[in-house]
Amino acid sequence: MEFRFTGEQEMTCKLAQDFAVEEVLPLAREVDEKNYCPVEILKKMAGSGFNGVFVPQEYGGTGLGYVERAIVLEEMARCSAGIAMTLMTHHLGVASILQFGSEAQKQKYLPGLSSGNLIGGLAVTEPGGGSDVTGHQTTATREDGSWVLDGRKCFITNSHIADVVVITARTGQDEKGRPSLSAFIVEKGTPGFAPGREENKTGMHGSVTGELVLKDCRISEDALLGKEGHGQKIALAIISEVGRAGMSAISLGLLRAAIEESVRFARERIIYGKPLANIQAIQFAVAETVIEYEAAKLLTYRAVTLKDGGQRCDSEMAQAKYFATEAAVRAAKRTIDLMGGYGLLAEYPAERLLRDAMTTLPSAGTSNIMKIVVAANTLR
Amino acid sequence: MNIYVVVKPVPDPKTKLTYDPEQKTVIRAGLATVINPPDKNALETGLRLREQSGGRVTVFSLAPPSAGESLKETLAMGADEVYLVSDPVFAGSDTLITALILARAISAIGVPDLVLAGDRTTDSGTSHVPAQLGEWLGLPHLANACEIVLRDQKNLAVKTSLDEVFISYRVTLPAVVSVTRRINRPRLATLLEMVRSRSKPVTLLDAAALNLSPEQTGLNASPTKPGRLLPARPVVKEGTIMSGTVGEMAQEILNRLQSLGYGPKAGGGLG
Amino acid sequence: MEEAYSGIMVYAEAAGSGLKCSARELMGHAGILAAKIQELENKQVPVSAVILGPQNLEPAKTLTGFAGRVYWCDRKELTVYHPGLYAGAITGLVEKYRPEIVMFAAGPAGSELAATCAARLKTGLAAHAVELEINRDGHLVQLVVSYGENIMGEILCPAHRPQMVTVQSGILEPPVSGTAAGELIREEIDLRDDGRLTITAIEGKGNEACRLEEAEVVLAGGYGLKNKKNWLQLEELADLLGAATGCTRPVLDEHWVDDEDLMIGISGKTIHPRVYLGIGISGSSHHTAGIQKAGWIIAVNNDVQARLLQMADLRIVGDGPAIVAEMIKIIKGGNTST
Repeated sequence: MEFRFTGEQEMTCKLAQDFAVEEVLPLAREVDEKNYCPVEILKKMAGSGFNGVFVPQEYGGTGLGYVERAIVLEEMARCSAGIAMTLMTHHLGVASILQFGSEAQKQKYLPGLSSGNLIGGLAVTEPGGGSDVTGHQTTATREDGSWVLDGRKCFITNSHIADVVVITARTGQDEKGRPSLSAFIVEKGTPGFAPGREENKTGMHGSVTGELVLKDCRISEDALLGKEGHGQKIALAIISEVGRAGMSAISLGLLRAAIEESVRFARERIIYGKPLANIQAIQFAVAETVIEYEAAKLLTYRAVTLKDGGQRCDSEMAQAKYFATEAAVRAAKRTIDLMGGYGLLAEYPAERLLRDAMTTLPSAGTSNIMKIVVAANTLR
Repeated sequence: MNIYVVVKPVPDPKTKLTYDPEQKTVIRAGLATVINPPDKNALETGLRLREQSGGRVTVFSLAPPSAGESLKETLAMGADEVYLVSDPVFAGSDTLITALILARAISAIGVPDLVLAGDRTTDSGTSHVPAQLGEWLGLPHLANACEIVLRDQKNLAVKTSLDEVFISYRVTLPAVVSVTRRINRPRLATLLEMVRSRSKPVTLLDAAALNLSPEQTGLNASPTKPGRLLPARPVVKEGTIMSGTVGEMAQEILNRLQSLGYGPKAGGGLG
Repeated sequence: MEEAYSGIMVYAEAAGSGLKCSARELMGHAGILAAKIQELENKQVPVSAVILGPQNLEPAKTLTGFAGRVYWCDRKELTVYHPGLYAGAITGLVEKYRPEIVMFAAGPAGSELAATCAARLKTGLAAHAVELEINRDGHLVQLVVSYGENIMGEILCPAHRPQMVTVQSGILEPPVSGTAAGELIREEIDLRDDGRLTITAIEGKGNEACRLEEAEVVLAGGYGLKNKKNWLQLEELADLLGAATGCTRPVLDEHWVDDEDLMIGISGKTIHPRVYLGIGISGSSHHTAGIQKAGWIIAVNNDVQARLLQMADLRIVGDGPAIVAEMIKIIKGGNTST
């Protein structure tokens, strides 16, 4: 068992941190207050090799893995979870095409997605169901050598900025009469495909989340991703491995930010003539956050290491996502409590950490779903 | 254009060093090291010159073997190759001997068109090595460069920043130039370059490789020797201490300034 | 070998028709050291000064009030600072007159020159000395600010001569005038210019660069400002107060400022304002070496243990950026009465 990063992973950490401090941190407060997604930053991230971090070099990617992706997301999220979320969601589109695309599709999209020319997205959730994938109402029908898509997706991050979106739709029924889904690659600007309303989330303000509306949207045959009827499998694979890993990594960033805020405040605030850090209750709070961060880190990096090793990891991913996201929420509240009144003022990052952490919870599956996944693996 | 950049790994300026009063030394164990910030400015200068006129950027560093990892950052920024000049007998060398060792290393590999360095290090901060390196190599040298422009194959236009003036020079290559922080903003290392760096050589040059004997290097060979380390004298001064609301403290300062005869310029409320 | 070297030589820089403050300080140091060696070894210690440039006759004459001998090279090639030619001239004079100690003012040119000369003479050079002493053996002991939290280190050059040092300015009160009746000697020095380095232009830095050193009120910011936005806010306050701005090294490391002319301390500027206001500065010796001569010190820091607070006349324990913002608000609002 090795519990250390390799030399390259250490360098990835440093490099990502330097980038985040220089490019992401100056925007953090502003994107939170003004609630917008600073799209230009994705081009800069591409320049550093973040956008296609796990894409092989033959497709224009950086040629690293999911461990390095997690490191990058953690460092971005430490400065701004919302901006990290934008990158994380982009990766969902990238991974879908990388894992399930044809050679032609990979050649067509992966270089642009890695270079910053194209922003990716994944649209699965519908008003009819998020966790319930089979509640799909969006349909895709064959017509004169094309597919015609109709329907509505909601709670889609990168909805208003993605150039390439992987969308799931009903294409038939299985032998038991349950809906059978397929996945499609839809490009921005395709007639009949457009973002709808933009949601006003309580947190993750550096990202844009909204609806995607498909109305008589005609796409070519070769826009089908993977085999017909494999849509559910693709969606679950990407969400459970790439989505959950991403949310865990973002939560690690939030946990670290919580530690740093707590420590800074505890050292500087003078109460009863001494720094707050001298008070045992405060020390306990800081210790709890540190322990939870370390535990979340181990769960997260174990899960992504399994993925890089090509091993099955859906339970480990669910464990990591469940623990890390809930721990981030607890840590954020603990930080606010420690800061007293100051914790609720917008000029300190603490209250933003709580809003961001809350917003991670339903993404890539709720905490209850995570428990169902783990239980299913255990009670099988 | 063949460019060498001399780089030093230094303790991370952000970490607080602690002093061991028993040993009378600074505790350096377990400290994170980073590339000396002005050396990154020097490397950036070299990389831009390479972009402009082609060639190669090679990094030289006199450092302990453990510094190898932090030097990889220079490769991830775009340098082509690293020479780590390291040997236990080099320890304790002062700037004159450090410059000698680096000069030997540079001569051994081949004198380039240009040697660049940061003007000073954040730990010892003497700023002596670049000039002394130029002297050992027998090359013209300039310090305090804030602008460098390649005039032609053989000449560099260098603007230097002194206390009250800027002086510009034409210097014939090969030469040694040390740069200030204001010369440029160093690029960030990228993952792409880090992956490309897997095939870039990092070579160790020890005393034997440079034909240097222990008598020629290290503390014994150095004209300057360290004496005692002493804690800085504590400053004992009478002063008034205050805390309070932000408003109260801000007002107190403004009042004090006013009582000393200084206040905001016309347009503000204070006289 | 040591017996063959005797005396203290100072490289003096001119400012217009007079001497730079640093030059007079060095002469002050030299006088004190000479007296100490004299007492210890019961021998005469001549003090000499070197000044270069045909335009510097007046400063050279002034130096005769401080030094027994003033060596002035008036070759026209020495009009503007040329590191190779200046080092050649100084080295030539050192080899001719064999002083046991040679002193330069620490600064961009002084440090470069001293390093070059030390390399040519193959001797030892200490940088940014804040204190100079003579020990029992008659050796020069240079005290420099060492790396670490407020640690000073001694440097000696026991076996090589001359012992060379660059001295941090602002440490010693410079003598206004001297009582020596020194001799002014025009030195003919063989300057070998191989043409590899040529001066092409010279331009003044204007008021901005000197502002910090001449300002009566200096507003300095450190790592405790936390980010660039707060630094810019500090600049705004300085503007409103008519104060010059200065910074510590971490501010440069963080790239909130890229102009190292604003750095106060060792390797940076020494200042002597009437009022120094330090915000978010812990007060490491590296920085405080540059404010020894400040009049009133006001320090603002969150950390009640901060060293700068211990040195301050008015010690404010509070959040620097918030207080700066409040001060701006008060000034702009015109609401100043308490």
